[in-house]
Amino acid sequence: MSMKISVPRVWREIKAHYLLEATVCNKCGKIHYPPRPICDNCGNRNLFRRKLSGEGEVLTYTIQYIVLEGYREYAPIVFAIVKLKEGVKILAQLTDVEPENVKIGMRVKAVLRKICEDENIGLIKYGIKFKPV
Amino acid sequence: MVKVYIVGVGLTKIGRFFDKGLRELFAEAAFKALDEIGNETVQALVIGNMTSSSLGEQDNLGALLADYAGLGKIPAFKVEAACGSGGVAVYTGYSLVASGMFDIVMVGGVEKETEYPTRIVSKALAQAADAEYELFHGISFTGLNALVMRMYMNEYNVSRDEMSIWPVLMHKNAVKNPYAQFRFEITKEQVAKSMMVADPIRLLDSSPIGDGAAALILASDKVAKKLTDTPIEVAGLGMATDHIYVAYRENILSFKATILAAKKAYETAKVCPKNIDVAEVHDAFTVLGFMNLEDLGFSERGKTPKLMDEGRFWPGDKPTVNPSGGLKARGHPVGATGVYQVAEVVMQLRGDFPGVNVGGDIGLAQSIGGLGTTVTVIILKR
Ligand SMILES: [Zn+2]
Repeated sequence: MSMKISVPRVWREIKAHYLLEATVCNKCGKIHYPPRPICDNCGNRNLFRRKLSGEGEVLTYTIQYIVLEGYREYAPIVFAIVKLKEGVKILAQLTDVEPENVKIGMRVKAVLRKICEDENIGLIKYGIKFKPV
Repeated sequence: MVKVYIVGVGLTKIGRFFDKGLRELFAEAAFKALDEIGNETVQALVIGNMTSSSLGEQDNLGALLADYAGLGKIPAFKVEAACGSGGVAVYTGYSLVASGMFDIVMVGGVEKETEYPTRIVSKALAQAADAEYELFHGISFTGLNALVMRMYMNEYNVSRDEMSIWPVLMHKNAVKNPYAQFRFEITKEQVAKSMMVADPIRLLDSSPIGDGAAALILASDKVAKKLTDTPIEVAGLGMATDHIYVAYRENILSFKATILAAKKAYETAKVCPKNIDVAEVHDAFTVLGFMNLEDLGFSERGKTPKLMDEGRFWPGDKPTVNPSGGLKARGHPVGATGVYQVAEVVMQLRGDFPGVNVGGDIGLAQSIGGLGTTVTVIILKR
């Protein structure tokens, strides 16, 4: 038996995954998600962390029927690129919605949900999903 | 810089081969390429491959393949850039010759995918994306491409059936290609009824899983003419990368990496898009085929499906696109694909491609790793 989910690997990105923390350039104001250590707009390395609103709208989506190893019990899964109020775009699953009711432009907000479970040990990986408002 | 020519090519058929692994596939392609240059000694080997590690439990691929194919104790190594590994291997092999370091270099591409269940292969291929922020959520590579396809159809108001001209033409072109995985025609109706993989991508929008290997011999201008009567010049090449997290990009309907790599390739070859006679582009999914033609400067944004339906890019048009059948129908042995494309364009320009052969003086090959993340564009001249 081997563990497929590594605890420290999830833990070190936890603020970005659970709280939607981005890094913001203190020079030009560009918001970076996933967080990065240098602004790709102006080259400034002086960035601070800010929690994103989690509110936005669906820019595009897919209903994925053929899912990856470890996700079979959740199929089909709806994935979307969500554009937040702040202008930042985020890839995540949609939840609490029937796939046939998903529309481009639909307003959604972030919620913390289970992503998947380690098949062998039972560890649970959590992350942000978006649900309709 | 030293001028670089391609003086030999070798391909295997693409498909499911129970009796061939990474080493057998590579040796078959390598021997064909070596035969074209009278078995002259190659001085270094560069291999394009994505999944030998994740699927085949094989690292150290360069040494393994150089040894198995009897190339001797030469410098040999693998380069990896997901599905774009083949193009990057050619880029690397070119650099070794152009720098003056070697006169004869073999560039190989090999992939072995068919002996594992689809969900295992899909997981390996999904590693092309950002592991911590894309794969984390469970999205497959097809899923990522589906996000782009829906956006393309929505933005440019293109219907399901209008998109289907891509796989229909690719299958038509592949019928005559003896190396192709799929040598049968399909209809738009069949595309529309095929299994939904990740809405709106259906099975017949997707390149298949397949095994295959390709090999090229690159040579400096000093020795090229001694090795063949028909050297094909690597006239220009470019490579670029982009944000791996696709949602970070400002525009999702265009690959900046293709635009930058193409600009560099066109500049170094001193040609423009309208000079290209034949092109092999990276159509891992229907939508990518259209976007690539737009990013390479062959077509207008959002109009490509309609233009193709009217006969643009078919054999005999300039450029003819994917006379091999493309990734869709020739097949997509991931890290070998970029090497296949260059070999095919070489044969087009030499006039000895055994499938749809349109000839021409200038050809182009575009290879993509990930969803537009790593792109190489290579221009060849007769
Ligand atoms: Zn900045």
